[in-house]
Amino acid sequence: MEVGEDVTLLQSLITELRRGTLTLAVLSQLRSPQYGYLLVQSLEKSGISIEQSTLYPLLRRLEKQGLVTSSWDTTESRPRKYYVLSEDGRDIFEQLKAEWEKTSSELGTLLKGEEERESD
Amino acid sequence: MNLIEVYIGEVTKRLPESSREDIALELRSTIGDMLPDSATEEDVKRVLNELGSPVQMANGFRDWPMYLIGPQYFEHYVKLLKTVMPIALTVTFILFMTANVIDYNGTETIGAVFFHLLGDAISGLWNTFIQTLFWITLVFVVLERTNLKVTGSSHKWSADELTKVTTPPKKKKISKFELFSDLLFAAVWATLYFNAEHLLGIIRNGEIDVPFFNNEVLLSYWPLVSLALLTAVLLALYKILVGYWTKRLAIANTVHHVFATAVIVIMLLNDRLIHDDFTKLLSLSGTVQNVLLAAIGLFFVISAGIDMIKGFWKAKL
Repeated sequence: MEVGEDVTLLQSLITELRRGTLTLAVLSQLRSPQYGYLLVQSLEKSGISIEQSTLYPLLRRLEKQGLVTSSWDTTESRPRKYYVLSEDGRDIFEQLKAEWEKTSSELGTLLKGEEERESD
Repeated sequence: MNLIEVYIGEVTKRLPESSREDIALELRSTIGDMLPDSATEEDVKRVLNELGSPVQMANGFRDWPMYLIGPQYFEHYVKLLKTVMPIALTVTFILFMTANVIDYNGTETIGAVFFHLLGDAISGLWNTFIQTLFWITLVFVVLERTNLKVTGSSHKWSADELTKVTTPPKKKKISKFELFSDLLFAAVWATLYFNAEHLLGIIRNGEIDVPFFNNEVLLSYWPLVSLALLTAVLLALYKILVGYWTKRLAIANTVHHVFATAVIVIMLLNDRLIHDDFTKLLSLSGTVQNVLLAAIGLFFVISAGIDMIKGFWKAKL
């Protein structure tokens, strides 16, 4: 395998790995109403970079699925669309979060075991 | 030139009308958020670069599939194509050969006829190939977008189902031959019906001398006849998908036969259907002719009846 191929393969695996976690990351920021750009910035602050062309469609899909609700705020000079978790969304988020914590600790144990075996 | 508006236009023109306005507003507001207070064109370009290609942005917003036929239907699609294509090509070939033998008037040399035939045959087969491919694909593309579920492929599979898998008895199976003759019959009926003017009658010197039917009257039934032909083809496709006789198939078979026979009977009941010249030639009295027509009608009713019963009998085996 060429080096270039290796890099693209790694890149696509990373993308795949991250894709599933993005929903959780976005949901976690929506306990209080947020608008799109603010969301990008707060995610970026925690080191999670998300393409804007991924974020807006994702928000729309979550709204369609009933996990978030949106409203336009036109009181300021620039109208902004705010998203916030719905009742269902909060439920789902808690469950998803628990699932993530479980997976992450399981994976942690698994990877640790691997390290120990390597050092033997 | 306002780059922002052009960008938004490039995104929204790829989206359904109903969501355009809202998405445009949101994009405009986001871009505004990303720009510093007194933005230069350089700033605008930087922000748009950050947003990325409008095509990609629009793709994200789209919620209909970006493929023609998804995994849910692909298996059925390939199966149907594989079964239908050889049959359709063979039927075309047979019809084509017959038509050419009938048309042969003996003025061309055998060599010329051969090359002429070869050219026609290739273009005819190609035409059938494309048409079959197109229509079957179209049906599946529509299915994909209407979200109909076929044979519960989405429900959770369990090993218990293996106990329910019984290879249907051989007698229940629908043979390739049966499918083939079904489609051939439909094609022959269609050809005869739509070309009755040139094909059905007493032929003298290579031309129709005494036609059997009043062509205008005959052809005035075209919507009904086309529908009957369509149900015949749909029934054959259904047979391919199921593979063996079931009660449902027997019911579908009955629906088709009742409808097709009704169409034939309705046509026979029209006393202007038979061409006057033909009546004169036969010089039958009105009553005898009506009895003959009734007999023909009865023949169709009985053969349809037999096929219907056969369907239910095979489903029960």
